[in-house]
Amino acid sequence: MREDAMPKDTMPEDTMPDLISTDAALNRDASAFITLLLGLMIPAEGDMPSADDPVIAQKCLRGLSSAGSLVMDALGFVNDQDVDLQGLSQSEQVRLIDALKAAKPEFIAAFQFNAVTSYYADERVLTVLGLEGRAPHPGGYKAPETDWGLLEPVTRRGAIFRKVLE
Amino acid sequence: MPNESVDVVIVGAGASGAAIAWSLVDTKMKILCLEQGDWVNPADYPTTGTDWEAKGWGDFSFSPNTRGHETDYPINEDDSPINIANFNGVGGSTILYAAHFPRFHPSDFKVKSLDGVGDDWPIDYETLEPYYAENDRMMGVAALAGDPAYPPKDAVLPPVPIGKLGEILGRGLNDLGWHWWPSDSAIATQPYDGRDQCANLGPCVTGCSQGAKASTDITYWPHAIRAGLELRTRCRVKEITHDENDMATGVVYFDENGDEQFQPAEVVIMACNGVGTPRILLNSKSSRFPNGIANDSGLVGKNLMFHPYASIQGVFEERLDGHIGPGGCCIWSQEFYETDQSRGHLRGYTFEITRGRGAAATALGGLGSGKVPWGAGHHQAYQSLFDKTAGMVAICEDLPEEHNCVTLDPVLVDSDGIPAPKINYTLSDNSKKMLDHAVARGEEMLRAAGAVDVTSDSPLGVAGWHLMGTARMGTDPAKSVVNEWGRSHDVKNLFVVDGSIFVTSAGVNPTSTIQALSLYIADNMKKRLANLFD
Ligand SMILES: Cc1cc2nc3c(=O)[nH]c(=O)nc-3n(C[C@H](O)[C@H](O)[C@H](O)COP(=O)(O)OP(=O)(O)OC[C@H]3O[C@@H](n4cnc5c(N)ncnc54)[C@H](O)[C@@H]3O)c2cc1C
Repeated sequence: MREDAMPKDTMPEDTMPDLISTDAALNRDASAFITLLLGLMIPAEGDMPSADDPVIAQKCLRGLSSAGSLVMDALGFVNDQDVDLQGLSQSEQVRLIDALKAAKPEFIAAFQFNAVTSYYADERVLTVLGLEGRAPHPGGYKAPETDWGLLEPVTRRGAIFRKVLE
Repeated sequence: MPNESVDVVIVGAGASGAAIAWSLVDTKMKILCLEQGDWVNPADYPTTGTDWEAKGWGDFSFSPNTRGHETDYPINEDDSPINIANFNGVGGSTILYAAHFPRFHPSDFKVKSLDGVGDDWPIDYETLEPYYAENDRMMGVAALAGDPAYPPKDAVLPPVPIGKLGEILGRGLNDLGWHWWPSDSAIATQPYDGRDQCANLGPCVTGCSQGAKASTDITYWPHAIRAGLELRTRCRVKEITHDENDMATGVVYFDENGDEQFQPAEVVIMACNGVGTPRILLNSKSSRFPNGIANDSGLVGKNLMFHPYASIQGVFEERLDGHIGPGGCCIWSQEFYETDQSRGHLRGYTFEITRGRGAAATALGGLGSGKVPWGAGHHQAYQSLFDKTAGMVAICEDLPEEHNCVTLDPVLVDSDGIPAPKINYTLSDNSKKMLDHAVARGEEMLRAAGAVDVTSDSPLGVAGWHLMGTARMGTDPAKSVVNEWGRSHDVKNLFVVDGSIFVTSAGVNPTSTIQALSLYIADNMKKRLANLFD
């Protein structure tokens, strides 16, 4: 992932205004639209929750609050298609999402960034992935002892640096 | 009230500023360091939360243009395929560095004599060797003695664990008969000098929450401050002033309230890195120095070197436990380090094997490449990548070229109105060939280790984290900015100690050499105190 491709409006959570209570950028329709997209992007499967899970969705919505105009623009695009996204068949939904991706790449970048960083930071998701469902610090992780015998062929070969003669 | 004069003012509290401050403090001179940023509280580092990846791309991004903090300065990168990475605060860019800590090779100081390109350094490996060793002790470097790619050197701390991932790639390298070794790493693998033992958190490049990584805010600075040095934060230097005898008189800076101050000093030491230092030198214009102070050679800001990077990543069929261990420090291979003309390029590169990607980065990478879809199939595709991706970066030697440069942007300014740096940089043919070679060899290596799918990104656009060459060292004042011990040829009480003074870049991360040079310059100053300005 090219880090410079990260949208500037995806600042960390604690620097964000609380979208739901203070930021009118994402109204009810926009929030419903984003939640719907979350469910379409990452559905539930086995022990993995769907990304439209309320805790994950709220985090994503908060992250997208400063990208309100991008969200409204994307919602406008979908509304212009004159279809009910939720009522579409799966293949029609895929077609519409593909059209949205092509027409509104900036929105898609911001949406995917916030969706993914919200979903894959959720403790339940991390637990299913085998990551103990917690922050790296303070617990850290135990590393296995290294078998330095593996280096035997490297040492057997001897010095490889270039000698510099005065 | 005017500021009281000091013997030495150091500008910049990063890797090099910290090292020279600590070394000079035993002279009992009055030393002041001015740093534009703040102290960082380790509790604020991203790895204290599960959302560490998002924070690492936001407030702790290594791109100053993305962070956009008041303590950062903007950089115009429009004319460079490689973007600048840094951190501005006590510790400088070591706050975010990976702590991969190789030294230069002896051949790196003799590039012109050996290969007919670049220039020779005015000093050699043997001269720097005691300072490398001293710096290893101060930073607490973990290593395994006996690396055949280097002359013998001691290890201060036991090597970092290479983990399952390192062993798999090590076996692949053995199958090819190629060199590899655990990376020298500025990471405390045992409790060291008040630092905690590394708990293998993973992402060192968002800052080390537990203080095991050797950033200079927790290595050199506490020692220097305890010995009496003053470090003043939120002080951004605008220019260096001088008198009619071409001697620096001090620096003008903006304090934390944005008020302009003058700090008189007998000696000025610049340690703002390979972009920050030429920026301030170029901004210090006068009738005597119309093109910036210490710039009679016209070389301030020229010969900017990055290390062009290629990233080569492979997907394996088994899980690799890639989240365990310091992210950028595992093993290295210097099989292709020394020049071999048959490869089609001169000079060479290091392979730095990196550990796994985070959970969110895996998803973003997969969505970006189309390997992870939306909807049905998302989880299955994701699981085929997560913790199964491993690889390396190739750190290619960049050769000095005058047209690659830092200048002052005519429009863009920082929050104090100081002109921002502008970067002009193009990749040379030699670099392009070297990158291609590295991608091909990297793929060969990953496949030998068992990767089933290999992708690459070259040149890596985000990788402008090694900043070198913009105030080069040399004995000829017409061809260099500072002499062989870091003193400006034109202004005899002005020194530069950061990566700006590099003559060539070598094919390794630079910080070990930057700090060794800084300690070496400090020693030269101490030896000459009686006639420092002659
Ligand atoms: C993400 C990342 C990963 C890296 N990984 C590695 C690695 O693994 N190994 C390695 O060897 N290197 C690595 N590096 C590079 C390493 O951090 C630098 O080489 C090193 O820190 C440079 O030291 P320096 O003293 O030249 O400058 P810096 O450490 O950058 O310090 C410069 C300081 O000067 C201050 N400053 C600048 N201008 C002014 C001004 N006008 N007034 C006051 N203060 C000013 C800045 O705020 C800063 O604190 C990495 C860097 C980054 C960003």
